[in-house]
Amino acid sequence: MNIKLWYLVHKWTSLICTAFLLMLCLTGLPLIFHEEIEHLTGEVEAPEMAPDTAVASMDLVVEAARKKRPNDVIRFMFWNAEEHPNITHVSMGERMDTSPDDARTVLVDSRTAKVLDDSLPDRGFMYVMLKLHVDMFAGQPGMLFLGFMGLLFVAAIISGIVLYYPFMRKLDFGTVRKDRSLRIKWLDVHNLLGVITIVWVLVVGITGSINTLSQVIIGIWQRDQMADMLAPYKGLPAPSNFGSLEQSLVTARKAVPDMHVSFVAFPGSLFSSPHHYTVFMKGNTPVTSRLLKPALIDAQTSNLTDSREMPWYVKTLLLSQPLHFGDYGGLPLKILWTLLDIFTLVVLGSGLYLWWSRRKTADKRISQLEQLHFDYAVDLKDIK
Amino acid sequence: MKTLLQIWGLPVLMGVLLTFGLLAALLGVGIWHGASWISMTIPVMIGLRHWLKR
Repeated sequence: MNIKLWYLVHKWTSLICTAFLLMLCLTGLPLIFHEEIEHLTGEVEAPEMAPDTAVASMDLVVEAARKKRPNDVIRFMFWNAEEHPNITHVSMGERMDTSPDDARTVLVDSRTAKVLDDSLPDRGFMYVMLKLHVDMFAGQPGMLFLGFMGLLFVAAIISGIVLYYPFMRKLDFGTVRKDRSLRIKWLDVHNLLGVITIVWVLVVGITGSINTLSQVIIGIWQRDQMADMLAPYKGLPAPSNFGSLEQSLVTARKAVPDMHVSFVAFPGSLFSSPHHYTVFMKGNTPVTSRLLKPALIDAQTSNLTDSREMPWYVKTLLLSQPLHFGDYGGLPLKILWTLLDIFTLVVLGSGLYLWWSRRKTADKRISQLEQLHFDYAVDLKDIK
Repeated sequence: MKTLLQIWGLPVLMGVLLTFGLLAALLGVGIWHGASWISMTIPVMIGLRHWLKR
């Protein structure tokens, strides 16, 4: 493929995705620090107690949440040992398939089983940033659309890499010609910051596109591995009375001894079956804490049905999350994420400017030609 | 005219540093996080220096 063709690929893939990528980079900036921002804006914290205070039975926590919202069902329970070691998050909704936007998260103190908070989900600034970033308030189609924009972005980066060579044939690395025209200066900045950030933008772009497939991937997992594990229950009527959650958690911990409980999907919810508590276990290292392992516990008997490692495609999704969010290496990594995000904004903005300024010169040339043509026509008339 | 190595040498090095940094923080703990931060800071600083120098 010749340079001109690569240039056309670069121009058109960029032109289509740039507006969305600018939005994604801008809304992504505050999202990098969402944990810190939520801490600062006064989220609910568990009261101080002696550090060795025992944890209550999760059956009591379930009871407390149900008493607080008697008309709702419990869909999930989850824990965040790093951020909120003493809080059990109980996700409740009118129905099991209530959309995440309408669900309420009841916060229960894990030690006393007292409800700390059940306010409506925050619809403030961070919520708007998240929704814009994830699906632009357009649900699954919006999410997949942004995933496609991510793929165009990757194509723009690859064609940009090809174009770097011809542009740099006479220049030292990092040259920014500030004494020349504004256009030349921004061309150099575009090439410099673009080439430096290649690996990072490719990783964040590709993992972002993979994340947009999350619902598709989970659907495949349910029809594949989950259906396999649930085969013995096929055709059985859904039970209406369930046994002890606490006992089920004990079973899960015994089945997967070197991991701890991160997330429980209640019977009938997404990620589970009508017959089971699906307990998702996580490990202690940065990688194993992302690679959740499900244990299916019969909700009536609290016996283990099955526990398997996630298939490769779910593992790919689970590992794509930290590589997109940059939340796996402390505050310094988040600051690096911020700087690289700003670099990307500059590359996008300068790219847009380069296209625009070239377009304007092209327009000028065309109007010059038109003027020439007009003068020529006038001359002809005079002669007549 | 520059050779391929002259043009792509430093960019490839930056790519290696970023790749190492991204993976070190994911696969390791403790000292690997420090190694990750240093490794990723180098290309960012080089970018800032060339971009903002007078």
